[in-house]
Amino acid sequence: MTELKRQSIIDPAVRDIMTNQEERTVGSKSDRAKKAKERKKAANRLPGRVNLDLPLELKKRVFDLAEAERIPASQIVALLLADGLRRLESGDLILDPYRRPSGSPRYDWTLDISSLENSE
Amino acid sequence: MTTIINVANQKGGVGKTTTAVTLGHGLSLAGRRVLIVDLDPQGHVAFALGMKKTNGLYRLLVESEPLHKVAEVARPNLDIIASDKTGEAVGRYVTTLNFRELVIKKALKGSTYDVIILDTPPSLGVLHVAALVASHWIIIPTKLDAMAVDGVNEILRSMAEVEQSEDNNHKFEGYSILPTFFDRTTKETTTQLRDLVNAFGKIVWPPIPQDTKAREAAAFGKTLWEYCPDSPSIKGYQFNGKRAGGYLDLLDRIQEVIQ
Ligand SMILES: Nc1ncnc2c1ncn2[C@@H]1O[C@H](COP(=O)(O)OP(=O)(O)OP(=O)(O)O)[C@@H](O)[C@H]1O
Ligand SMILES: [Mg+2]
Repeated sequence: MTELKRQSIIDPAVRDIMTNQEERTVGSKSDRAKKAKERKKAANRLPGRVNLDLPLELKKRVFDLAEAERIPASQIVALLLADGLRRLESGDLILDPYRRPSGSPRYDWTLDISSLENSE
Repeated sequence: MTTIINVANQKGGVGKTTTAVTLGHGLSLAGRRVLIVDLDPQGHVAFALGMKKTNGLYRLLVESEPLHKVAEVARPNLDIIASDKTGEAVGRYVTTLNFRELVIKKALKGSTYDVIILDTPPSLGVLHVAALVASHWIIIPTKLDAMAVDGVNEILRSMAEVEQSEDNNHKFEGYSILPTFFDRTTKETTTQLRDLVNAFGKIVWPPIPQDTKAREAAAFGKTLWEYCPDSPSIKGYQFNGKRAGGYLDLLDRIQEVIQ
């Protein structure tokens, strides 16, 4: 039984695992193609487009306002941002009351703006 | 009758002890009476089961104490002969004996276990040969690196020598190659598995996935069945509703062997 001749027979389960591996490789190739396509699409997006997380309530208020005023939501946000930044730079608006220590290693602080959200 | 299974590869760190302990506990959970004998002075079998290293092997082979006195209970249905650094003297002692290649076979003779698993050290000493001479079935765990085929060939060569030696009058019932640390995401592993299959055909059994839980379990003194029975190293791979590889697959196959 210890002859060392080449054997062509293969355990069916081992074959399954090896074939499955091949399927996966093919799959991951098409995955790569898909990712490349997405990257291309992303590259064609307008350079000013951003993706941010907002409190849901705030987001709703912005879109409601945009709807009511018949103004693009992007422009409402741009106006409020520009106004807010100007007030920040002039010292009218300060971050300190909202600052909370961050638990994340990436940031030192988070802002808690719930007091603003609630006071309409 | 007792079936003696030898987990052997002269290369270190290929998963011999993990295989011996996982298979041993798996068989005991399936209701078999199992003994694991640690032939390695590193004493990792006891460690992996959360027990203390002892001089069990020394007492069994050098002081010729009876098996039932030396065996320690590890789990229900699972006993071990532990080892520790006194195991180094065992090899030296056995070398001086007349029938040194039969020493393990004799020590295990007449046991009441269904299965005895021999975990061997990463070397080709006299105990390695004595373990082969005592065994019915050989499991050869191997990592899938460039040396895998050579490593397996080396054990097959010592197995052939054992069978050819008239003193031993020994024939193996069978043997299987168990690829370990299998990582499907690297091309290297897949290529090596293919080489192994090309060289050895259907004695290559489905692989054990690489699994960080294996190291964790051993560090906690738990077997994989206790620590994480759902982990890849136990369950293997699943596709098209089929399951293959992992220690569950090995357990099924070994149970067929020891019917
Ligand atoms: N499938 C696996 N995936 C990841 N790690 C594993 C796997 N199997 C075993 N290990 C870990 O790899 C290390 C070596 O395994 P093990 O001790 O079983 O090898 P060995 O062949 O008995 O080594 P030695 O030759 O030193 O006796 C251990 O830390 C073990 O927990
Ligand atoms: Mg070991």
